[in-house]
Amino acid sequence: MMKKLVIDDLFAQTLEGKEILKGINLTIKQPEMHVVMGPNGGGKSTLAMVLMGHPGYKITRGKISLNGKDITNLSPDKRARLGLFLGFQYPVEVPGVNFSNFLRMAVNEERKKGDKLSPIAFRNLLLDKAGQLSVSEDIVKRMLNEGFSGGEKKKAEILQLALLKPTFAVLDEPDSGLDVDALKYIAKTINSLDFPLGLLLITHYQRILHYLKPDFVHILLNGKIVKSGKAVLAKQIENSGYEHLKYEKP
Amino acid sequence: MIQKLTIKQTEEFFLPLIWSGKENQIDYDISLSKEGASIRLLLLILGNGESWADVNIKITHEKPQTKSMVIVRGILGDSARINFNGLVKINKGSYLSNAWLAAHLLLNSDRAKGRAIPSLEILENDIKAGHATTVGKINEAEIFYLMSRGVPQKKAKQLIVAGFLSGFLNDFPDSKEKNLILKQIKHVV
Repeated sequence: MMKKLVIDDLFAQTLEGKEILKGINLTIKQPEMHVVMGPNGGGKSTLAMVLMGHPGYKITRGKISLNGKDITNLSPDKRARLGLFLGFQYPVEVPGVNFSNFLRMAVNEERKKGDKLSPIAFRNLLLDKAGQLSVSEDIVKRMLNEGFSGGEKKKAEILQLALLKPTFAVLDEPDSGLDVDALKYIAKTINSLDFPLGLLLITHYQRILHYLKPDFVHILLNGKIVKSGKAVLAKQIENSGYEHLKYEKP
Repeated sequence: MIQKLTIKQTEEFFLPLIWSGKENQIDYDISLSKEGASIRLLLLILGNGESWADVNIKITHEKPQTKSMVIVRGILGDSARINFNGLVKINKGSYLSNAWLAAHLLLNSDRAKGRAIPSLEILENDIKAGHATTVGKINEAEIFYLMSRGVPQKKAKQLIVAGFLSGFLNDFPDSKEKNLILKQIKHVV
């Protein structure tokens, strides 16, 4: 069976009742890369949060399915164990929780008894991946995102992605706040993942698309996808902005 | 009963305390009464069930160049209740003294209640003093973040609690009680 993430007529609102997603339809087949672009306040981050099951939003209509399974009402950890990953725009600092121990726990959550990674085996794996991302070795000693610089936090998200090996990933602005070198490392790591991945990349800027080649680009405006196309659409947007799309029919 | 302590030594007087629900009243009245006297008081609070306590800690700086550090950290589960009052008084003439008072209570249940009130009474100008208190539930954003990596909610909460305590526990000397706590949280840190 082909692996698919299907978003079907999805409506979602905040707990206070503010409607943010107003009928999203999107199907991502593995190993496609889809990019969602759009102006601030259009619903990009909300889409990412709702896909992962953030308790601060309520789905009022529609459904989300992952590899044929309806995940609309599942808790975030169950979605993750079914193969979904969210790379956070603002990774959360968790004081006192060791990055490496936590990640080993997360990786082992999905593994069967007898197949769990030992601390040493995991440490080697982590150091190997960290090297690819040019993340310093002391990451194994550090606490989860605590005291990480903006760039380190973003790299650590991609490092988690590389270790958890999901079937689908939503990356919420993995490029924001990065210098060119960090951006290149992140793009390079995404391009060289050693497992098949369906990717939904949310971005505000065209910049990261100089290093990644998406199969499809979608424009999210006011809670709806108003335009979809190939990679060239991102270029057009760079030249013309979002403004004129507000008056176009989807 | 109020524990009265008068500190007259210049090397740091270290007072590590662990409360796990037995007493209902913890009262310390501590005076730093020699030039250069210093105290570090750590209080670890672990409340669950119906346990409760009133905690009053008073530090008086009576001499110059005295130093006090009071750090309280606690986890309250079930319907445990803690009422913490910390008072640091710096008397006139206790110049070049240094005081720090911090209390952080983490509520691990909707029924748990915590109150932390720091007070500073400063009668001398040339000193340094500060306080920090927080009382709050486990951060929802932290729970969501950990869960998004496949960790179930209960484990995610345990991790956050263990992380909240781990660094603080390192400062405690080894004891039966500490080992017990470490054992409880070991699998998560």
